[in-house]
Amino acid sequence: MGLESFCGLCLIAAGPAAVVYVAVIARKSFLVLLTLASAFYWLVVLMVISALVRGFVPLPDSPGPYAALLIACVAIEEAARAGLYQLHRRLMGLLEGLAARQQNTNLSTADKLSMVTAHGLAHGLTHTVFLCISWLPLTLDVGTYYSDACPQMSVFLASALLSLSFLMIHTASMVVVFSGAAAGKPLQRFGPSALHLIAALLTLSSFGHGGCVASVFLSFLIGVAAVGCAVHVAWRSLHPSTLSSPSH
Amino acid sequence: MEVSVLDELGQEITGIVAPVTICMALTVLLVKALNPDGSDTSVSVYFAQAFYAEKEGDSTATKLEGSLINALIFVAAITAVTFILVLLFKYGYTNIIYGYMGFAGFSIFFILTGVIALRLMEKAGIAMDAFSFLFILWNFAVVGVATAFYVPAPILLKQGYMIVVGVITAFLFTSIPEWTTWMLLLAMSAYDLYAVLTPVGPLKLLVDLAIERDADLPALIYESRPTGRGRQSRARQQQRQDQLQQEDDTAAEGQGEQPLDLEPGHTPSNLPITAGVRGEAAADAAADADEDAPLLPAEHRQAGESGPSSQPRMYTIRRGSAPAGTSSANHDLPGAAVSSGPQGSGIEPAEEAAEEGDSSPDASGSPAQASSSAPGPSRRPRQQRNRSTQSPDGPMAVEMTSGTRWRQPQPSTAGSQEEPGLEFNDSIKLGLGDFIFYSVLVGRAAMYDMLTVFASYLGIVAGVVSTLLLLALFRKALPALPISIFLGVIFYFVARLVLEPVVLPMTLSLVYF
Repeated sequence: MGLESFCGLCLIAAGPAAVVYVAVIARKSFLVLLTLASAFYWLVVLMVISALVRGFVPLPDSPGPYAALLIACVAIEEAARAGLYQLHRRLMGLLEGLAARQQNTNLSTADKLSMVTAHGLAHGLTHTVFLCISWLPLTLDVGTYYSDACPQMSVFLASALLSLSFLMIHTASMVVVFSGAAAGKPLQRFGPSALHLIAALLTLSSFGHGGCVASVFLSFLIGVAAVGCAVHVAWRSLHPSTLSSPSH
Repeated sequence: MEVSVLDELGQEITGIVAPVTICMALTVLLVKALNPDGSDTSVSVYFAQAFYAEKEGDSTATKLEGSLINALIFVAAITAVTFILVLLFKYGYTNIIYGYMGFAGFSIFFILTGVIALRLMEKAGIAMDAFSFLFILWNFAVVGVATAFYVPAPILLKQGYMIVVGVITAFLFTSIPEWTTWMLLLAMSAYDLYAVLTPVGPLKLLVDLAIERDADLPALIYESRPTGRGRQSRARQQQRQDQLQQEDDTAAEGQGEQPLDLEPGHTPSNLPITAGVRGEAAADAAADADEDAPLLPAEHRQAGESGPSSQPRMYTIRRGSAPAGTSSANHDLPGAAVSSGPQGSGIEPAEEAAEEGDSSPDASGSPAQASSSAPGPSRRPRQQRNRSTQSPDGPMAVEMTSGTRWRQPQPSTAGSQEEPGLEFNDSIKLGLGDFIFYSVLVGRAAMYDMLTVFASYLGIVAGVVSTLLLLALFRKALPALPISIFLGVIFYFVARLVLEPVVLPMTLSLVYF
């Protein structure tokens, strides 16, 4: 039973990411390396956040301190995203220069989108791995773990579902933010950051009895909305002609 | 049809990162299955605890002191063994080296793999009769030893067996007590720096000797030659060939070289680039050139030999079925061997090979050869090509044998626009010792929890990629352990002491961001 639940939880938490990885990233070695490099970057960010709050843990088991922690975490991550965008711009410049020098090669919009997706997937996977998958081997043993505040589902299942939601949010946000920054659209650039903060604060409802259900559900809705926005942005990038059509 | 600039970028690096990842993942799985808490020391490497056997109740100072002395003894022994290897190689006793490697390989493939397989089967509750088990194990071991050291074999098979060696050996090392493991990893990293970078380092001497004799290192080395290009479109291949053809034509015009034709089907992209000297006296490789080239017609070999040995030469490999000049490619030199430890060591020199190889009569006289990835001769002299295409009045294009190719700005010529760039050859080599010690690190991390495993993994991979980029910049043999092990150890302890105490309560409280 342990192995089945472990595999199932892994599929919930990282299955969609695995599909995106195989379909988009794994086709090109450069994207694989970019994903690894970006994951390394986000791991360093997580470590910096942990180092900053290490002196305050363990926090009291109440929403207040965790709200402050979440606000700090999101603020640092969004600042790190801005730093990553600067690095990404430099990399794009190098690649465009390389493409211009090489005969018959280019850096298409699809390539640019796939690179941004690699960044976003790395962000989401880093969170998924360090906040969820790292603890799933515990399910290989007999039994599972329920918290008092969430009798509806095991901590591992709730964790996997929340990880999936934030994986969608992080991956999609990167596409929207980077596209918005490139196009100079403030709403696109800062909207996902606000969405990230809202989704994080919504998870505080897990402290209430049975609140984990609302937390999981709302986070998932935000994740789906973020993915929808990202698909819309990507579609407009790939088909710019639709912008000028009368129907729009 | 236009192709993307991303299509082939980074393939050489992932060619190393992928097997390293597989080796580490398998080691972690073995540790999780057979020795999850590190308490089982039944298959431990006793030599690594020659002075001090760590006990739970010992003080930190005692553990530190004992593990440090253990690590120093281990490194001293490794140094001594490597010097013996250098002496044997220097004085031509390579038969002894390969004989020992065959014996050690058989021990790993038959005895150690057998023991671990038995334990896995016991754990999984799988029953098998002794005869069948021994039959399978014997065949596995014999094929492994033969293909890894003595006979030609598909590159994928060799790579697979190299990974098996890495996993089995790393699993043994994970049974070493914790403090000794950390000290050993740090000591081996320091030793790697000394052995590869200092003029009297044993690995530096070994690499220099191998270059001087135009032979492969007599060591266990993983070679990242491509095994296929299934994902490449034909259009992309054709375009690449056209581009390379233009470069070749430009270079050939200036040097009057003679192209080598290959039989149909041997596209440049699937040609193995490195001569895989395994199993016999590497020093004899150049002398045995003729008998090692059955895949090439005699006239082609003669064509390769006919070039002036004192001049830099560039060989053009051309598909026999295609019209001359329509599909050819540069044929690069063996890749870089990044390694450490007794299993294989140091990034094989780039620039040294270019410089010394050209000046050495032995090396420069070797004919260029090529074969497919399919079974072919196990001993082939290294291919020579020019690495320094000096333009009359401007910068030059320097191509390196270390598996990297550094292109400096070149004056524009018809059909060829060389721009600054950094390229790796198709073949990069990593010593199996590096595989082992990376895997030991993550295997040890797996005894704590998976969070530290993932953190260490990302640290190690970042180190490997950094080392490969440094290889491209410095164009010389580089130690592959120091950066990776340093990052891996740092990330392990930061994850354990800083990250986990913050992340775990958040996970348990279902608070995410």
